[in-house]
Amino acid sequence: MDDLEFRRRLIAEPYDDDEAIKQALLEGDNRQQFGKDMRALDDKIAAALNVDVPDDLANQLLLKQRFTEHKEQNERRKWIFAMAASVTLVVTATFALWPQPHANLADYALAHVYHEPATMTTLDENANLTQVNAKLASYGAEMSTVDGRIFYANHCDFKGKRSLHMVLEHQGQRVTVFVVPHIEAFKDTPAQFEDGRYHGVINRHGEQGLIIIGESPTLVEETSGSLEQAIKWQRI
Amino acid sequence: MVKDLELDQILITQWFVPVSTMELKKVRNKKQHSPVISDMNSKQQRYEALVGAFHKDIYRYAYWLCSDQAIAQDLVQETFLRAWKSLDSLKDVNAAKSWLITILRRENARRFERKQFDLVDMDDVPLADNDSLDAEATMEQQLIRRHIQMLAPEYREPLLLQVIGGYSGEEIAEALGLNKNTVMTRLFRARNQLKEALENSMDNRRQGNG
Repeated sequence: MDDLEFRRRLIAEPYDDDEAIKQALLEGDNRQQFGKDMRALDDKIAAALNVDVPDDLANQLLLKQRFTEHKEQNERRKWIFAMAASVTLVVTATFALWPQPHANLADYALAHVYHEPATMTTLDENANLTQVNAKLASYGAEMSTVDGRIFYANHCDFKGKRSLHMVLEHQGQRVTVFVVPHIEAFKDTPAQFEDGRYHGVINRHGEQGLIIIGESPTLVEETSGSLEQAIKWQRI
Repeated sequence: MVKDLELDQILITQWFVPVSTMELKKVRNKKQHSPVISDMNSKQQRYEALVGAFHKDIYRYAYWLCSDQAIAQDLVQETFLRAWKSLDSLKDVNAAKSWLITILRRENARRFERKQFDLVDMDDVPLADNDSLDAEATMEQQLIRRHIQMLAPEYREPLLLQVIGGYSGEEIAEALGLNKNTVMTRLFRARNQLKEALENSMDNRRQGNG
């Protein structure tokens, strides 16, 4: 290694411990001295670069990080709260507003009866078969005969579906009959039900259904039997 | 400088490794400790180790980049905050220092994107004195500092990376996106300027004394 190269390399990197440099350092006292000088200079430079560091810098760094962390956690917490609240809202709204296809048909029919108590006691519109059949036509049904009086026959809202609500007379007692189209939407309901006061049956005829509710099982069964014979069903 | 580097290494390896093994044991022995919380504690401890081991060097590097104590402190704050946020991306303990320097250099570059600060005249800046230096050594150190400050940035930064960062020529080349020969030339010129400045001042003094 020539002198120029030696000096260039040592000035650029005084602590270079490359073999070639080590070797070159041994080639004479001048080179040894130059090496020493350059390292001494480098130590001075290193010392000069070592400016004082503010005493509390480390603490400041930790403090700032803690603060930022805390702030971010708060923001994250707020965000989680917001998410939780909106999820809750959506779930609640869904349950409240979504039409429930599996709602219990029997319960709904009973509730409907309780909601209009007059139909089972005093109400009397004295309808005739022709009027009933006119209304039944839109449900694909036609009734040939009727045993007793017809106290009531009107369209009503049955869980979002237009249905026919009738109150018939059977052996001097009142029986409520619902004609419900698209009954297949209500799948979980048993064919027979009772709640202690009323008894009921559900007869399915393809898409349509007939719900009969009365105060005794016999009454319901007999009405059901006669209606099965009296009503002819068509697809709607 | 070499000693300092070794000390850093020892500190950081000692602080990093036991923390992670400790955490593992804790998780294994105490089921009620949530792994998430342990993980956060461990992250906190790693961060504290990082601050403890490197904040001085990072501050000094920042100081020589911007010649201003207040800006240097801000830069260091920003650097360590970013380091905290992406601490999980630091996989290799040995790379911690150069990782921090990389973040610092990026933060410094962002500072220039935002605003060009006026250069500070070194005569106005109260530079800290190291204690226990005699008058001549103090003067010499002030002189070196002044001349380091006067180095063109493209000469100064390789020197900072070499002396403060402990980088090799290749590593400096990689960090600055230069080839190694250019880096070695710049290091040579930087140190040569400092060397000449010192020699001149000594000559002057001798002449003055004579």
